Amino acid sequence: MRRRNRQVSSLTLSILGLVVVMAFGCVTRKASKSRPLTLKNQDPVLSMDNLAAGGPSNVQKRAKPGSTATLPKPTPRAVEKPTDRLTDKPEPNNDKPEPPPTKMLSCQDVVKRITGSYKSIAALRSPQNAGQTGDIQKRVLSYTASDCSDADKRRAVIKTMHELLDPSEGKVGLFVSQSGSDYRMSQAVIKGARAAFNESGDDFDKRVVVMDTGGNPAGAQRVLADFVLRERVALVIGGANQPEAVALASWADRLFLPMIVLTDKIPGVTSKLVFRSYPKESELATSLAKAAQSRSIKRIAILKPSDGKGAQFAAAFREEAKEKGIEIANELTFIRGDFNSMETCGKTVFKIDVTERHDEYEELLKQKAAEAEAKGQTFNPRFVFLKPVVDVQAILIPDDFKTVRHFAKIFKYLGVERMSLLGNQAWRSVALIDPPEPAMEGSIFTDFIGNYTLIPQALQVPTSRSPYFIEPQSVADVDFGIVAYRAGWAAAQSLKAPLKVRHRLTKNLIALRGESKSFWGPGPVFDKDRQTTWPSFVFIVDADRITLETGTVAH
Amino acid sequence: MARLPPPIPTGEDFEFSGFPDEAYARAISSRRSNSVFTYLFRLVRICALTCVLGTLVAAVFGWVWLRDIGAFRIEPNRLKAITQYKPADNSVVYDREGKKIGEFFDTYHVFVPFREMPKDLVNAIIAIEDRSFWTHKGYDPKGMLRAALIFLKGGHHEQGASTITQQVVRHFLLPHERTLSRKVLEIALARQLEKQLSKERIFEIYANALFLGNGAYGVGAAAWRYFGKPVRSLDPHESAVIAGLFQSPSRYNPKKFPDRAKARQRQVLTAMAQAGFLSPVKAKEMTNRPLVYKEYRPLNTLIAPYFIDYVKEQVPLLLGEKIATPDNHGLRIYTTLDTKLQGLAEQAVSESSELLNRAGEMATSIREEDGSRHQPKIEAAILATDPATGEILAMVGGRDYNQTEFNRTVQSLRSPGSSFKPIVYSAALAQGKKWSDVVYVSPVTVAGVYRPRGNDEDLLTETTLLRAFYRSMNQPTVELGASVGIEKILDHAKNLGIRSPLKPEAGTMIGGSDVTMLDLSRVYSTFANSGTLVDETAILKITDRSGKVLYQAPEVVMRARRVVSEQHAALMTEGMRMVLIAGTGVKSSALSEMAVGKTGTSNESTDNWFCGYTPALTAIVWVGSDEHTQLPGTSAGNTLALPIWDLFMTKSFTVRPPVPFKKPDGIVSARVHPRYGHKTANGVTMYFMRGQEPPEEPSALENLEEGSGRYRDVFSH
Repeated sequence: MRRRNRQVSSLTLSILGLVVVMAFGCVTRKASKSRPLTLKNQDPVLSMDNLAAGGPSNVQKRAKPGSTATLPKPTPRAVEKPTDRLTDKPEPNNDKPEPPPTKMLSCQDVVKRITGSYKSIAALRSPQNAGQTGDIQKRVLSYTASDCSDADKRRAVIKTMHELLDPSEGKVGLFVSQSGSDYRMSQAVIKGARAAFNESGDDFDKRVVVMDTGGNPAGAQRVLADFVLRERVALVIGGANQPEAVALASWADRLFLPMIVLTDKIPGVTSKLVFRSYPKESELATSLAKAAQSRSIKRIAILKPSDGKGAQFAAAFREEAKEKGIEIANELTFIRGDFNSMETCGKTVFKIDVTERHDEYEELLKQKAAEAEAKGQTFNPRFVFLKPVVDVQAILIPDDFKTVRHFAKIFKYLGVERMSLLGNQAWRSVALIDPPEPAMEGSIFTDFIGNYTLIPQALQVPTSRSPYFIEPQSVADVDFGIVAYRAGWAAAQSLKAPLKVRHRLTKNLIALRGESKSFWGPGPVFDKDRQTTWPSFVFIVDADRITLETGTVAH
Repeated sequence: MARLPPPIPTGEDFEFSGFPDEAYARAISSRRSNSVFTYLFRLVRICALTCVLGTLVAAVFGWVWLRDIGAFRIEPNRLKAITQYKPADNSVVYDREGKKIGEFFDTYHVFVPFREMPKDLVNAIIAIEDRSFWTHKGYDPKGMLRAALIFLKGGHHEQGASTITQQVVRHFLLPHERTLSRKVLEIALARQLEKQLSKERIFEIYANALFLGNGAYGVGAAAWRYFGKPVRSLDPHESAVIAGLFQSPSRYNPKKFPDRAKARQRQVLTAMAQAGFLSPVKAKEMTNRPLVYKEYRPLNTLIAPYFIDYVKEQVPLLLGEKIATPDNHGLRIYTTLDTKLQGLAEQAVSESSELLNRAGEMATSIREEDGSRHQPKIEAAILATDPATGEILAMVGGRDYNQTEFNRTVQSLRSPGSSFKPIVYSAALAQGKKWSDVVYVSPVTVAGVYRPRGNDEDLLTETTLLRAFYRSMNQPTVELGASVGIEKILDHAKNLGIRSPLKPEAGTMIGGSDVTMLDLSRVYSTFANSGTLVDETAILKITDRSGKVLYQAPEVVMRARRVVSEQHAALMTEGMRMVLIAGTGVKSSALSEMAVGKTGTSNESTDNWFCGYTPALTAIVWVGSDEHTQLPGTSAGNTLALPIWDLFMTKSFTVRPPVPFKKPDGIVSARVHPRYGHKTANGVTMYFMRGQEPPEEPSALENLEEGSGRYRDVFSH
């Protein structure tokens, strides 16, 4: 019923809009042949002008509030006939309190930019799908500059454009990669999104169109073309791998298409139509730094793998640690799985360097040799190690549980029986504590999932040993499922409010607040960076279990 | 005028000093007659008187002399050494089937009863030594006269003046100086002996007791030493050689002086012909026959020399104070040796000579002192036992007993290397560990001072205990042992049969304390025998020559004690099967259906081991040098010892066919991921105590490996 009402409302508005457009056409025709089409746009990023300026990389530079360098100033007349369907009102965006000036686009600009974008995306479609184009989209694709030659034609164009961007059918496109190594992740994403839509009272199967990207940017763009040219989706979810996400996000502004990508970073993309449903690594690092500070840790070493994994976490931690007065004594890089490299890191941290402490080493050799002789034992210099200098209170190792376990043993080998280690979600496995590693007792790590029994019901899997562990083969499913769930829930909620143009969904998304009983708790779903808010959890490693540190769950 | 001698004094100051001298007699006679006739008559009378008196005096002196030398008082006991002669007898060692495999003696005797002596041999001895033996009464006056005449003529006598009886008497009772008194006494004793013993018995004693050179006493021993056969198999021309030895065994020793021996044989055959024992034609024919002497190889060195030595050491231990050494005690020692297996063991070692020599070449080092090349002798030893009974079945203590008698199976203390590891793992399994438990393989230190070396390739990997075991990883073993506790490990080792002292330090867990092959044999036999240790034995029974039992090995049940549960023993067996299937013993994977085992290499690769077993046979193989030389390229114990073990075990199946290992109740098997310890169809077979099976769910470690090598790597970078 609600949906029907929304459709009726949309229809009424469309008719009204059509009338306005027609009137607008008359006025403009009277005023001047080349009078531009006026568009009121209070968000420069979403303005037609900015979209016309080219790719997303230029958007921010050219989209400064108040910038009208390439556009004529709007006239009051143009404003009095607002083309609502192509105008965006100010968003309740906290960081942009000042409404930007209204911008207007001529019919030719509209044709050039929207039709141009649709033609561009249509060119990426696979030939066999070329015939599967909606009527509206066909019209859009058929427009040329000549279609703006008279008022009737212009009205028709604008009407078509309004129809194109009408989200009333509210389809959601879900990009997944159904092939190769991403298959399982895609299944988890579908499962998470399905659960979210269904638990939101929507029907996933009717609302969501799932298409296979093949796991590559080109495939993702082909799917995007189908989504817009055939399905006329109001919003898309996807981009679980970064290249796909970047490729998709580059089309958001050009197609007036809101997107929720399932990745934490999309370099170079600042479109405000693009949202991210993902935990924040920096938040995890912050929580960890706080936990370290609460333990009065003042001096820390950081050991990070050479392949760059964990580097962002380490960087975020370093910044946070500095703010909290924690000194970073060493920041070293190791080659994962290479004993010499890892041992060297340990020796450096603990200053077990024979060349630097040569005299001390020589003295120690003599002493041990004498002891062996006194006991009648064979002296083996291989067994003589310099005593470690332990002047750090903890070592951050943003790598998986396996690496950290090996490090703990290497430290013991070097003479450091126990050392507090700090880590991230990659530590979280039963294998971290089974078999027990006494050297790791007291270590801590952060994660974006706490108690597995508190995640959305549909995503829950059997726990293993405690509520904090699940079977390892389910871990990735839950991780990606919960990310997709968060995106699906936001999409489903955003579509509930009536809208005239799809790009206005951003307004709904930004306004969304969580449910108090949900895993994520109350509060805004998206932060100022348009990324989902996410709690952080700090875990303490004991001999044979991990425990959730009380009071450190941060939202 | 001759002066009369003074009157014969009487009293205590004077003693009788003999007859009046000739001058005194003449003085008396001159007083009575001066006529020629009278003189002549007197002269005759004087002569006669002198003769009579001389004879009397001689008789008195002779009587006194004979009395002094005891010729008149030959008591029966005086001949006891002969009459109660018990022929010295070697102690004989038999294998488990009663075949003679060795003998212990100080002097080499092979007693031959008279009735078993070949007639030709008897005749030859009679002919050359005492042709009238069968007729005289202990001495032969004619023979003596003949010998005296020949002697006076300056010739050599072909026959001795002494009869066989006299020689017997001389051998047993009289000193060897050549004096008249000894000769007379010899005759007297011989005559007496003839009264007490039969001719046959005297001959028997003579033929068995006298030294005949080359360490042999008696004709039986001589027949073996010179001709390598029993006396009954001697040909007449060979008997003649032996008969010729009685006069002078050293002079006519066929080995040293074959020409003299041949000449002596000719004399004997001639004497036989003269005595009528042979026709001249036959004697000549015998003379022309070639003599073939056999190189004497002591029996003890032929079949199982190291085992025989071991048995010799064991006998006094078993018989206590009764016998300090089994030499010549006539003991009958029934051992556990399986001659066929022993032969196969010797064969396995000898067939591996090329392999061992090559190892020696690789281990060749340059001496610092003079720059010369030094190639160590690579030794190999095998010890095979029956795990169910503890019986030693084969013992090869080295490659060549003639070069070195050092028995490396029982006398050598060597580092067992990884072959000690089953002790550690079995202790851990008994404490509740299971084969699927995962270990992170990193370098370890024990008490901050011990840092065992391992294979660098394994570092920073993860493995199940089983994989760590069958790949013989050091660090996980030390870690495991440390978690069990070194004291408990040492106790467990003692329970399993390690008798050598073990150092209470971490290095012991990977073989840092020296043990014997026998120690390890007990340990592995215990696993083979489902956890029951049976004390080893080499001797089943010892009797004297009359069959009286002096020692009987205790029943197996008395020597057995359970030290590991049947289930844990089975777990260890299956663990060791994996050594052959996928571990350091994979070169012998073909044997994994029937046998199991464990490699071992000591620190610096100075010792190379393979210890393995079937339910019916435990075999420990060691390879190394007595100089503890490092053996290059032998890091896993599978390069030297394993091939020999494989060779031996494969051959042994013909003698001791393998039987399946028991699978006791209470253990179950599962296919388990060898590195991550969860059940998987593609895994290796592991055995568990029921209820200890690992989970089906894959480990997170596998997620790491099978994915991109990442785990919860959810953030893009």
